[in-house]
Amino acid sequence: MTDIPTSSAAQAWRLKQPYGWRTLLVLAALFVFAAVSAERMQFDRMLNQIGDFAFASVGLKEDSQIGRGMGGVFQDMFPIAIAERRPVELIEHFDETNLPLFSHVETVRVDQSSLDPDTLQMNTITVEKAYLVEPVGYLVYVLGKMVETIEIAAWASLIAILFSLPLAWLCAGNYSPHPIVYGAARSLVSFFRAVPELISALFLVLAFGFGPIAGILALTLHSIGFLAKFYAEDIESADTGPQEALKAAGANDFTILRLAVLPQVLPSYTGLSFYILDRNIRMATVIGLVGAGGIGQELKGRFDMFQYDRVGTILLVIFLTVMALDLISARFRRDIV
Amino acid sequence: MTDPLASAPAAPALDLKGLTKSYRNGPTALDHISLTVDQGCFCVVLGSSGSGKSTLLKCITGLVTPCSGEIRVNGTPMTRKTLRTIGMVHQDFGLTERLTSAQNVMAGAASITPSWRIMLQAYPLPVQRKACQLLARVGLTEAHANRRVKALSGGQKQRVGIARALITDPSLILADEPVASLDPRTSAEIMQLLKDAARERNAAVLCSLHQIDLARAFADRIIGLQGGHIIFDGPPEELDHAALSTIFKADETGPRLKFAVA
Repeated sequence: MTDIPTSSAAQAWRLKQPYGWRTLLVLAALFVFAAVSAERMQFDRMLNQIGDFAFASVGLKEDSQIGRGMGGVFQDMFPIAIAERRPVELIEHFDETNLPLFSHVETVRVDQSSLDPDTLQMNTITVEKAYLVEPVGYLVYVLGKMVETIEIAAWASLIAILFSLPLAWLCAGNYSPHPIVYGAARSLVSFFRAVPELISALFLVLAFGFGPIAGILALTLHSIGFLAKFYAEDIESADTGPQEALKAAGANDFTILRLAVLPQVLPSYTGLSFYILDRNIRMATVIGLVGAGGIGQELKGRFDMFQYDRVGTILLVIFLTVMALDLISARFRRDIV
Repeated sequence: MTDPLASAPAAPALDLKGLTKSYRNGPTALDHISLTVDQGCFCVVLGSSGSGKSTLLKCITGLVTPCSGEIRVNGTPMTRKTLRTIGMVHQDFGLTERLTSAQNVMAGAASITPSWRIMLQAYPLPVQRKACQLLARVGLTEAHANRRVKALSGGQKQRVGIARALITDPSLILADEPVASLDPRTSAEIMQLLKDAARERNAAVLCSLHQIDLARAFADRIIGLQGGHIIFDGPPEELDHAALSTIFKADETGPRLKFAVA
């Protein structure tokens, strides 16, 4: 070992240690809080039920609450509803010579018992009932609702992107025209982000009625809150070299944003915008639950009517769509960014 | 060249009077700097890091607001409008990497281009043609012009930087350590290009450097800056060892730190 010249000052140095007694204290406090919270959240019951379900599913127990609750639903869900079968008399302007594509009329003999008012006896009479059967009718209908959902999400994303771009300018600390404007824009954006879609949709349905308008607006507001914040942060953290160079050339703020900032942040903006589209499609399936249009509205209706086979169809379509979108957007982002 | 500003030959390209800048909680970066640069003069500001070179150049372009002092370019006080008579070359190039070379060069003309054209990146044809000529002048090809700056080498990037500085036909070119991140050979090429391009246009150059050999080789006049003061001003022949040792005098904290470690 070579001799390192020592200095008296260096011997007195104390290095910062990564952990100390304070860390332990904080951990202990966190543990206590977690224990109290777990008690309040009924963790014991949750573990009991999951345990019961696990035992029941391997045959060690007769049945479990989870099994009873979910079993019935899942049994009703399969097979899922593909066809649409409607009594002819309920269809307005039914024209037997001009049936919808791939559909046929099915006649069924039904025994109907009715009370004869003269003899006061129950009679059984056989009537013929006609049904219009569309073999893939319900699936097509659900797919149509899914397309509507995607339209809601796409419009919401597009409008949000258009409004977020100028709003991000006002929200970026280094380009905002005035501190008051900056504060106001920031608060507005935080507010938009703080209100969940489901809640704003609830109120927008009251204002605009059932249907996609409320859905589009609810998603748009939340997306603006998200996009404007992150767009603004990208502007703030962009490389200042090109910006100073243009400023030295006498360019104004708009020019600098367009020529020095926008090209830099464009990959990130594209990524964020795709993320918001992806998220909006998933959210659009949910906000239908409060009547804001799309496939969620259909799901809620069928669920409330205990038509679980149709619920199954809807859920399957949602899952497949979201999975497909994941694949597409992952590929798209890789190609663009 | 038909430069309306050339009609007043008496006015120097740059005239600084009592320029002072001190940063908050910091030392005085510039202490009453008075300096005139004649038309067409290639003037090098030589100094070590922290001597105030960058602050001096940034004060002239308005990136840094001086505390006091007067700046005149071609006899007129510095305003946003007079900025277009100045071209600036930056140490870290200051180019937008994701735009093409040509787009970066044309961005130099942004202050005289309408906003809608900026928005659509649709520059007027004369600007486009001029950008092509300038890119050719700095030794780049059509392929380089349409390539993103990201894909260029350091030397090529600074060539684009010089082309951008020239697009408004400036009478004064400021260069802030233009070759700091380049190898010696490329540095010499870039300095030669800067000098030739400025001479063709009879533009004055104020170029900050810390490389003594480059300053000696290219400068018409060398200004030594140390601690915010001009401590040398003269042609490169007069830059002798004594002058150099005052310009690059070690800070007072330097030696003491050395002793403490030893």
